[in-house]
Amino acid sequence: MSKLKKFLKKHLSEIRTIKIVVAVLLGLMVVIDIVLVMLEGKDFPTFSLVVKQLRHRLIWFTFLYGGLVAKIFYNRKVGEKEKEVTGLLAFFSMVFLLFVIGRHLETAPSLFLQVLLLLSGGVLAYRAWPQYQ
Amino acid sequence: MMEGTGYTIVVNIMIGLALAYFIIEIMLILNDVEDDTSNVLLLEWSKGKSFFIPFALGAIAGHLFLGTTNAAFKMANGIFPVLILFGLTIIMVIIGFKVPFEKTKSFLTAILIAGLLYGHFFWSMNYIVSP
Repeated sequence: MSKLKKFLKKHLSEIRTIKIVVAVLLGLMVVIDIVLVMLEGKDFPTFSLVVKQLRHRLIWFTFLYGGLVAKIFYNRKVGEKEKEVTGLLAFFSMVFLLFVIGRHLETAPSLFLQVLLLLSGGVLAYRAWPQYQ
Repeated sequence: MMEGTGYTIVVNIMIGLALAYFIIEIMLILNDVEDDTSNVLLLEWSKGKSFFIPFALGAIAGHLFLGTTNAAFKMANGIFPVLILFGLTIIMVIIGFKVPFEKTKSFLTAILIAGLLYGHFFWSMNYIVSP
């Protein structure tokens, strides 16, 4: 653990570096998908196609995406960590539950259900997953 | 369902990217710099010059999870919605750099919803073309 701390202190303590790392990771996803689009027809599906075909098994991802977006734009800040840490557990239990349910689904979820998943993911993340300070 | 090595490779790339994101996020939580997790950074960027971020995230959500089945919205070429999205993004970046204005929460929400609607109607994967 202390080794990791030392590594982080040495390489990941400047906000500029961190910003570059995060931006590069996000950019990389876009670039890879563009490459996949160009390869289309040669047996390589794009990210979207994979998600589309597996929509019923990825209902947990819909929920999580709603949660993550809410986490970015509607972040709620709290001071006491101990009191609220159970909420995070509740959120990810829900993700896990959806993962298990999704494994047994066979048809794609309806539009209404998808909207509901996005919204409930967002609301639950807002309620249960605050930023600790 | 499509099978084959290409499919498996792409799924593995997706898992790899998700893992990389997860590991970086944990490292950002463990390092001692305050307010540097990706959600905080993304909000900071959205409130600054890059207010296209909520639009892009909304469009991706609409594209991946929603999507109308009404073929009336379908464009002639599947690449057009992507090009328009890139065009809109570039316009928003230019506005962001040239015109400084305060990005309130309701403004970012409006942009997010606009993106979601764009993804749902114009970048849908669900168009059913009636013969």
